[in-house]
Amino acid sequence: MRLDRMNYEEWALDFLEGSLSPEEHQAFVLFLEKNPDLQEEFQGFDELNPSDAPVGVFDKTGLKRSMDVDAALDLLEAKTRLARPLIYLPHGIKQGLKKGSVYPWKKIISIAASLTLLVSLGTNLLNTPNGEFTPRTPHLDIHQEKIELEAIPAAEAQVVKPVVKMQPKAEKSRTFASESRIEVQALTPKNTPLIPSSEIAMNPIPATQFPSQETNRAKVVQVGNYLLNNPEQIPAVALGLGKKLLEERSWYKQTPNSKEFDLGFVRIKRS
Amino acid sequence: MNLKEYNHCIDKHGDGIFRFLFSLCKDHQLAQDLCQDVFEKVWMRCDSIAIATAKSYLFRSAHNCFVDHYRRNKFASPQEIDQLPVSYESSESNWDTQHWLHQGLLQLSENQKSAILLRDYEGYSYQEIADILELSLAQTKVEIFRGRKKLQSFIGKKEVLI
Repeated sequence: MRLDRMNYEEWALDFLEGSLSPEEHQAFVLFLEKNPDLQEEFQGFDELNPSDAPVGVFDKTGLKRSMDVDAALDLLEAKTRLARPLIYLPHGIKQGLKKGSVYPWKKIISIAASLTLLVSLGTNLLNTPNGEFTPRTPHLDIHQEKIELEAIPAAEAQVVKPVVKMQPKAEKSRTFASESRIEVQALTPKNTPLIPSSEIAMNPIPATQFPSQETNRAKVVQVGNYLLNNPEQIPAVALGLGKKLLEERSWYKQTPNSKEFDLGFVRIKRS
Repeated sequence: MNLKEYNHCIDKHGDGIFRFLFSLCKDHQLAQDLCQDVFEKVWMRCDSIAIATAKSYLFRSAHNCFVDHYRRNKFASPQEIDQLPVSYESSESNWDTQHWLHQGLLQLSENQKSAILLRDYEGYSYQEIADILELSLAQTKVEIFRGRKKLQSFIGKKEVLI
């Protein structure tokens, strides 16, 4: 740590305690010699043994012999000791800070207040002119007016059909997608024709017709659902899937003859 | 610390904590508020505080409360708040000197103020002050040394002016 005017006090105590290394000790002495104004701060220490150090010269040997940090601080303390001011925490606040002892009083006061309220209510209710309790009923003055409606002949009356909102297909699709692939297979029209993969490659349909899904299983379910609603699209859909359908092995399971691919809703034969 | 001991703590140390806080902030109302905060904190942690260490815990909490408040409200000027005349315990001490010494406290850093107040008001040892302020013994002595030098300088200037 570099010694300067900002941190010399930290060095001073170590110096006085003799805990500085020889190099630091020398540096501190040189520092004080270069800064004679700071030596005044050590006058308090000098007073412990005035004969040790000549005035205006910082005598480290004298200090080393005579200085004791606590004694020096005590000396400084004697000059700047603070007497305790005669101020006290207000009694009300002190009592308010206490716990437990206040609680029974609060409870007693709240019970007394409740009883007073009940008694006053009872007194007011029973204190009628005849000495009898007569509950008052609120009087409501409601203005009523009869409106004559013109009769409509039954023949002219229009029958309004109720509007039934159908569930959107998208929602149905979501519901279906959460179900298992087995159910898709069960609902898939049977005896689907075998479509050669060469035809698939030749007749692609736009991929935008199939909403994309994250998992392959979900894709199968989604396409299966699409085909359930649009069975006439089965051959076209199979074509549109193209080669990608065949490349992604998880989409299909290979049949024993390794030439056909069962996609659950359609089987494709490799050409 | 049980309920009885906690209430005893308020009786025994309430004034000391209030005095300590008042001397730090020079504002009666603020000192009362901080004092209540301190005791509320102690009450919340009542189970984990031993009665033997309650006093130092209270002063440490008071110091921390004041420092937190001071940091939150850095631009408040406590010098303008203190207008109440205060008497001092020591009959030997000169009122003027004590007044200026207490005014001089406002010139010190939080640690310097707290360390000197704990030393002078409560008579704590340097090691106890170091424990309360969570400083090393050497740091504590440095803080007290610096603080007292500033106070000495401050009252010196005032004496010259008078």
